[in-house]
Amino acid sequence: MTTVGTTQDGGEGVDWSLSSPLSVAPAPGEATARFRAIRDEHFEFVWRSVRRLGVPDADVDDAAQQVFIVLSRRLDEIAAGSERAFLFGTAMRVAMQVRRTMRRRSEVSLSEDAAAAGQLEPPDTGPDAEELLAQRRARAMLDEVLETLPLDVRAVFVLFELEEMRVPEIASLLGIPLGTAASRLRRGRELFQAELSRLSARKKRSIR
Amino acid sequence: MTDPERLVDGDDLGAELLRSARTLDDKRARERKAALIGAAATLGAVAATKAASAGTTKSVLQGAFAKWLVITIGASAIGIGIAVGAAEGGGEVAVGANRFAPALLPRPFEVPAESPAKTPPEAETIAEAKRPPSEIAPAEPSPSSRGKRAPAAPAPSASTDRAARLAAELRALRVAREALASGDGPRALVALDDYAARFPRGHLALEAEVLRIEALSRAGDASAADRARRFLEAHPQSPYAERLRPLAGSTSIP
Repeated sequence: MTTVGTTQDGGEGVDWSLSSPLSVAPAPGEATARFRAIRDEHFEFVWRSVRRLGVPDADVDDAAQQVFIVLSRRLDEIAAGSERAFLFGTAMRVAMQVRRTMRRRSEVSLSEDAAAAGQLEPPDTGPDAEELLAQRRARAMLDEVLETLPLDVRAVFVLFELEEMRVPEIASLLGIPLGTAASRLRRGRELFQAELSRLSARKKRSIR
Repeated sequence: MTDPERLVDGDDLGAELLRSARTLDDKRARERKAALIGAAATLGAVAATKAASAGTTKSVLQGAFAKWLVITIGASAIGIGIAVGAAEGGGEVAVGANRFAPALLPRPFEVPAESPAKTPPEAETIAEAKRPPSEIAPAEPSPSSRGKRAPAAPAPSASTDRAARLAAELRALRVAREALASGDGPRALVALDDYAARFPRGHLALEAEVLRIEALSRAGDASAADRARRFLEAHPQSPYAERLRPLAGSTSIP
């Protein structure tokens, strides 16, 4: 299988890889090209989305890939222009499944995991280390707050606050009525503020 | 309809958290894209070629995807991507490489309206479903099991497919990678011997070789440079080349 002697020249089609005699790069098919274009355009959005939907940092790569596996399988069915909607819907499903798996795997709650990850950050050096550490702590705290939002509410909340999408865009992306999007957002903001106050109060108490 | 003001634009703690998260996520997403896709862009089209020979659009896609997909597996540990040229038109390979493949099985959320709901059932059927439970979620090793040898390769029953095998290979290599990442060269070498013994013609032999070179180098073994040179001669265009060049010594390597 592995042929360490295979060497060709060329660009992207170089067979540097595992199996040998397939040396000629095929002209990428239309579907492949489309897949790549979608992947390249939306990868960061998908990555951010699964992260923001509650997938722990260490698992985000896998989860994001999972979303693109689904994309690759169903590419034919996805109408032009609805790729982002498809990806986000898939991201929600994947995120939910990942979180379920995580919970089964460990009794420790996701938010505690995240908080621990923030706190156990190695004492890196360098000018940005402190800033990064602060960012991660803040991220862990945000995770903890977001963790209390139901996923459908959380989705609208993060799209609005973090992706800075407008409510009609969100409704369209999720395929829900505008009013539903608006009410989920309202609910998300209420829950967010309430949980944040609760968390701040608790942290103050624990410091005292 | 007028959108409410964004919390993130405020000046309280919540706004602070949101802003900070936004910055961090943006940065991380960019980094991960570069790490996962950037590297993949230089990969050979082996998978796609094989898939193309299988003759279906779907397999072409999956082939093209597989080579991007798997690169991530090792990227987080020591920056070595794993490329699998094993797609061979089988989507199960790609899926098998992913810990969260079972995420596809239940469909608790409606797919957004724009995407047709009339998915044929087989589109959701993935190889994982056919595996014994122990294979379904090749779980991240728990802290206590980290460092132990990977479980034995699954018994190759008739339908124990490439995916299961590949997943087993990935797990075996993960042990090595983790050992290496934690600075334990000898343990990494043991794990690589284990890999070589179990998978003499493994799909990931090339990656195993890269890891071995790194482990040998870490251990101060002089043969690391030779091996690195041989690898570079054989695979000058490999994405691993950049990593290995410093280990090959100062002789002129393409």
